[in-house]
Amino acid sequence: MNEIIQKPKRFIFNSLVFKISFFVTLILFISLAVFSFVFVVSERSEILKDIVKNGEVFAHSTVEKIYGDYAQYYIHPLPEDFETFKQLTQTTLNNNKDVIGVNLIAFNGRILFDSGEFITGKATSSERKVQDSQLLQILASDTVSSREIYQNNEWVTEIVVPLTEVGGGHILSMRYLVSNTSLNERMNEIYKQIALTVIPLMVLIILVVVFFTVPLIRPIRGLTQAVEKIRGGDLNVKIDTKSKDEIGQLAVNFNEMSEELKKLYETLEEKVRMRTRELENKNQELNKLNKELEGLKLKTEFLQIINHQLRTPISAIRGYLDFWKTGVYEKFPPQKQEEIKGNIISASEQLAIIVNNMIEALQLEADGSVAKLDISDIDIKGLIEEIYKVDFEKKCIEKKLFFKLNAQDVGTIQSDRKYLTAIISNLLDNAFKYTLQGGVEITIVRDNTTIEIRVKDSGIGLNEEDKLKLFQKFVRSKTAIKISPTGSGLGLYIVKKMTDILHGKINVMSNGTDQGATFIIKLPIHHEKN
Amino acid sequence: MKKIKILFIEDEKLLRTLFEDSIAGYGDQYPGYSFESDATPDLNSAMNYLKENPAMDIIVLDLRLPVGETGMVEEVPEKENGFTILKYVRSDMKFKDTKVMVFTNLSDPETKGEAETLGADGFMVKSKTLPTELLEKIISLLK
Repeated sequence: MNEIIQKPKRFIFNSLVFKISFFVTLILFISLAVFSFVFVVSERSEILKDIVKNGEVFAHSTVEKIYGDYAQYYIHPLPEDFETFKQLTQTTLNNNKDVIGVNLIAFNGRILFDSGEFITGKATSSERKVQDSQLLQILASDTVSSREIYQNNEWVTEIVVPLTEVGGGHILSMRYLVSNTSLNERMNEIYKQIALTVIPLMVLIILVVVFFTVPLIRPIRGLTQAVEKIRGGDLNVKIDTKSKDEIGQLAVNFNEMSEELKKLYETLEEKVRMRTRELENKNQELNKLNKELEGLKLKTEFLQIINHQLRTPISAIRGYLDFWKTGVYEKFPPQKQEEIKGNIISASEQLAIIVNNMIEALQLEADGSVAKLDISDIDIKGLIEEIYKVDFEKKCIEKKLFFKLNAQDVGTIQSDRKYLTAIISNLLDNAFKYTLQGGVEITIVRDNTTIEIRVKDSGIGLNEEDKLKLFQKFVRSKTAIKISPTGSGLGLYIVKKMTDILHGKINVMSNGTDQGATFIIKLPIHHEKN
Repeated sequence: MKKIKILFIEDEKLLRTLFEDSIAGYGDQYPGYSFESDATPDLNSAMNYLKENPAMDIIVLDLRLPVGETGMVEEVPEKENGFTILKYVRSDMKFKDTKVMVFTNLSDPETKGEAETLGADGFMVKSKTLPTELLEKIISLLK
């Protein structure tokens, strides 16, 4: 709510138009005040002159007005003595109702008369001599001047009228005291007159300023509101363009601009829509392409492997079998013949391993995380013992190795028997294959949620690079190839994939070549469906 | 009796054995020739062997060879390693009388073209070639 009330207020005081009109009004008012002041001053001066003029200071014929504005008087005949002079002064005072006191200084060629203190009717004046310097000061002034003085508990105005030499006599100065009350009465008339003139004038000024300002403010406010609307996203704004001045022109330009903006915006929106649609299409194409590429990559990868790995044993088998066809086989000594037969068997074994593993890996890759699991409670210790007995015991005894299974109260886990068997068989196969002395030890540890199977051998071990690449497909360690040339490089890849499918983890530890290796598999005890 | 010295560069042990067995078995079918063969499994050992034994009559060269003994084998090694050996042999005058027979499973025309450009004297695809055919080709190259 505050925001709504404040906004127009802020608008008025920040408005340039308001500022300009405010200053214009101020300047006009100041001019009016100056004019009034000058008028008052001049009127007051006129009143004072009037008092002097109308004073008939010297009521009898001896005083005559000579010039116009400036009260120039002379006394004729000049008084012969001070008493006459004093009477003259008293008469002046009596004859002017505005004047409450008169002081005259006169010189008759022989005597300088000074009526002394102001003669107020009551006060007595005494003869006094005028100093030369005072005389000069009085003579130097040639205009009527006035000042306010405080006398007998009231403010009175002193008017000084300097007089010049006239005829045979000299009057040097006349000083009147005028009552402020009567002066103020006459000034009040003036003030009334000024008020009657100035107040309507001020009202007129305000009206004129408002008359010129409001038509300026309104379109500018409209313009501002329109700009705010456009900023808010409303492009259908139009402003009234009736006025023919600059503001009107601005409004016309503004309307044109907003029209163009609207068009631009509409085409822009259309363009963005089109571009988005294009991008979406492209994206779909790309996704499709990507899937195709992924498939292609997989295909290429397997093709290369088939080319390299499958052709080798096939070439060997073909080459050796040709020995029979050509009869060369018979020429070899029996020992060599056995060796050749061994090579053929080895080649066909390699072929079988590669083909089987490849099918298995492809199957795992195709099924991935959506592989169908057949979950049951498996006695893990029993399963390992069974696998060992069936597939590895004979080999272990032949190679004079030991096998040890450490498992106490490990109970059962929920898992897929087929995958679990494959994982353990693969790891045991590797362990027995690459261990030449010592043996293989399996340790099973169970906690609340997981079961950990450690397959430890004393075999050829793994270096750092081996450990990094071990679980990638088609990768075999050089030392492993030396010991067992047949292999697909897929065994541990398959183990890794299967462990993933069972939501488990596999890791390997080895201190280096010939230091043995430990494969650690962690599996959840309870199978959770995806 | 002409003695033929052959170096067989091949990473698959099974094929190296087959080749040596074939020479032993079929060698006497070529009267007037006697064979002496050796085999190396990778780029490094092949280069070392050639530096020490430049007087080879023919090199049977697989292209996709591992670099050396260490580390893991990524089962599809780079064919560039084979070409490295070919370039080396063709750049050294010690081998000006040595024939190079590229013996690979790569059957695409680009590989064949590249091998010929680099100076291979023959190009045979392993899986399509029986040992007797390889020996015949070797003899015909050396005649």
